Amino acid sequence: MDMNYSEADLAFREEVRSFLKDKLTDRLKTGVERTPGVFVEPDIGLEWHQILHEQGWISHRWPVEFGGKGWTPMQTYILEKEFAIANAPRPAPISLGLIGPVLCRYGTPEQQAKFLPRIRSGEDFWAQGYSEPSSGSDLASLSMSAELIDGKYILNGSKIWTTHAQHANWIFCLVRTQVSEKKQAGITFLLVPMDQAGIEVTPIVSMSGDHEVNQVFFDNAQTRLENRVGEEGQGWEIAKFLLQNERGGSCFAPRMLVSIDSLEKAANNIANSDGSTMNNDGDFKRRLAKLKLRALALEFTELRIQADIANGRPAGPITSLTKLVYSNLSQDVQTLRNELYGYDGLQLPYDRPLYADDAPQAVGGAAAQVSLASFLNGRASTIYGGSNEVQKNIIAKRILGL
Amino acid sequence: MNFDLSETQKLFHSTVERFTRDVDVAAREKIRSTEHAYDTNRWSELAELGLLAIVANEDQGGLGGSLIDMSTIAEGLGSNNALDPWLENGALPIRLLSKANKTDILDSLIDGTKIAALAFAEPNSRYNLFPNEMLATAGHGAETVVLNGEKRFVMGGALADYLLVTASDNGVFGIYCIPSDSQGLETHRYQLSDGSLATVVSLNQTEVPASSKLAITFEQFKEVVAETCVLCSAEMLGLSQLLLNDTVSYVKEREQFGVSIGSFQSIQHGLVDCFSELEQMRSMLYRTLLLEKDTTADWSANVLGAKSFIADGANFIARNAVQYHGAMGITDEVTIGHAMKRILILSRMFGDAQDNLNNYLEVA
Ligand SMILES: Cc1cc2nc3c(=O)[nH]c(=O)nc-3n(C[C@H](O)[C@H](O)[C@H](O)COP(=O)(O)OP(=O)(O)OC[C@H]3O[C@@H](n4cnc5c(N)ncnc54)[C@H](O)[C@@H]3O)c2cc1C
Repeated sequence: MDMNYSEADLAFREEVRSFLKDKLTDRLKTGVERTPGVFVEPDIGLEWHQILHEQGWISHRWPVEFGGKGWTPMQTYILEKEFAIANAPRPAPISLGLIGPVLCRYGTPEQQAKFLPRIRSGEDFWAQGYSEPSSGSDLASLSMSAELIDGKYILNGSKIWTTHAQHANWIFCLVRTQVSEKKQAGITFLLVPMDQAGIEVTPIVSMSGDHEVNQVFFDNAQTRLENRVGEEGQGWEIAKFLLQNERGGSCFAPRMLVSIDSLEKAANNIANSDGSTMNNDGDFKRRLAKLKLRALALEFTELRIQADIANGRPAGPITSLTKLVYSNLSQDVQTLRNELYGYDGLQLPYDRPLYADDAPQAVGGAAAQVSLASFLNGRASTIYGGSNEVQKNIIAKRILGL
Repeated sequence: MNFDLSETQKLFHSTVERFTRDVDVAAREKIRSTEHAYDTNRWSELAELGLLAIVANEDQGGLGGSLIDMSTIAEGLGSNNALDPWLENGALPIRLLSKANKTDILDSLIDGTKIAALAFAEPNSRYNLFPNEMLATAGHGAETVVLNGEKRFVMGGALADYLLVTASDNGVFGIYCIPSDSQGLETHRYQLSDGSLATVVSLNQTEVPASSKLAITFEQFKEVVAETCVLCSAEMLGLSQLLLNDTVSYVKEREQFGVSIGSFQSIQHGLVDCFSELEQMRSMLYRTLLLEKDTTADWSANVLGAKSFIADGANFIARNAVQYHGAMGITDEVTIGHAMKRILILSRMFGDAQDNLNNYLEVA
């Protein structure tokens, strides 16, 4: 057992630090700090995307032949940690973390040649069309139909909770091409251009006031046969591959730890009822310390998984555990943060973005102004990407053998 | 022993229930998007129904309701997730003016023609009720007082004709009832989590008649605050009942994997935990309503302990309600999110669960 930084690792860390120092502007940092949503808005996200693209780091996790860096788990970890400390935006995870790897693994050479460079450059912005009104946790029951007529698929039905569909020019969809006995069997994976008459995007406003998710209606929308990934009926296998990518090899803890440290710093400047500051409040300090211990343990759980992957042992269903631990922990951190701000933590402006010049004036500072909306958006983390209950079912069945 | 409501209390409950029933999420949104984020016609109706008069004593033109009566109203408002600021702009200020016997202003508050808001929270004092930052000094003549300082979290501040401002005059506590358009008074409006508009109020050399100081001590103020905390608890109980009812209905209807999600044992157990919290919360509220007031300080500490207990339960139920609704639960289109956001305010009004628990520790 060891966890040493080699000379090369230390040099790499220096490289990452100086890159961040040069390239991460105040505008970008403010954009992150004042965004209560799960993802940053494209104006911030894409600017940073471009910078990472120029640096050649945008798709560092992809296979080397498609633009990956082939870094060791330690290097990936260093990058994530430094990016977290610097509070850098997270570039569009649906494009880079979900559809990118799928195309690397299952795409035709033509699809790879067409789409991968455009994902890397930021030219294409992707949405994920999995969930439907009647198919959430039970994804395999999905019913949006696709019929192949004259080399084109004709799509009818709707997708819901589609994050940032309002910004996307492409959406990947799980669709039903065949009604079969086993519901998983008739599912196909299609890439669909958003800019067409048969597609309508309607916003769904979250209880935070944010517009992140949408319902997308397909009324005889079309996509060409060449936009099918894999074979007809192979969609479920591809969907599972994508989900494993979504959950596997995660690096949540660094951002969590940074967020906890920032809470500690914020407490220095927040008055307590007795005239001292909140960083001297015994209750607050104990709660913060407990959160920190949970995050430190999570960091090592994630590193253990990374090391397994690097040593050729696939992660498997244990990634459900990191998702579960992380989402509960992040909600508890958001709760403590919001409570730290006291009455100021009860403000909930609906105007967006909050970093705009004409955004409403914050009461008690910018961090207080976004904290309730972040807390409310954070309630989603135990629901999306497989809810807590679903993750527990997976662990009970596949790990504990129950 | 009998824990049933009296006939009059049942009447109040059903009046409130009828008054608030029809405001669904869409109607709520519409009212919230108006200039004051409220429809003052509703306030007049509320007054006509006697829901404001009940707070003041009979000799002041009120109906002299008991805390149990008022708690019935608060619970009723909660059980329909009402957007009416009865608690913070009705019960609380009227109770204060009633205690101070400020009848000239009380009249207009009881009949609903004027609305008042309490300005107590200060930027650097967290949950401390004693004003440190708003200062009162003698004015030019003996007849006036000058106020300087800033208040935040003035609930319903955008609606208020009068502000009840807590201030310190050389360490002596006072509440000053001033018109919201007094000279030197500036406000900044901002939206709270329930969609209402609060204000930051800054007073800069605001000179008011010495007679605007209410005849009320800090101890009496704290007593009214404790009474209001009982009402917060009651409203949270109503909201929690609503959250549980909606969630139980939802999990019966929503199907996944070919069955209703309510058939999954983990969801059943989770909702039983919520139900158990709710029953405990109700018992705690009743216990509080029936507490003997030996000394006001002991009574207040017990009330704050109860509020802490009920706030924890309400937040627990709200989070589970959202969780069991899946993605539907995080939208602004369903009631549960709005109920959760109101609970956040109530649970933190006059101190959060931790702070209230610390108050309770003093007598426990
Ligand atoms: C902010 C946000 C962004 C999202 N973005 C996207 C996106 O970009 N693309 C996309 O396709 N989808 C997206 N989703 C949808 C997400 O994947 C679904 O919300 C999720 O799969 C749960 O489905 P549901 O919401 O229909 O809840 P349901 O499946 O109806 O679940 C309701 C409740 O029942 C519980 N439950 C369900 N099954 C079981 C079981 N077997 N045992 C015990 N409990 C169970 C759930 O845990 C939950 O508590 C997003 C969701 C959110 C909240």
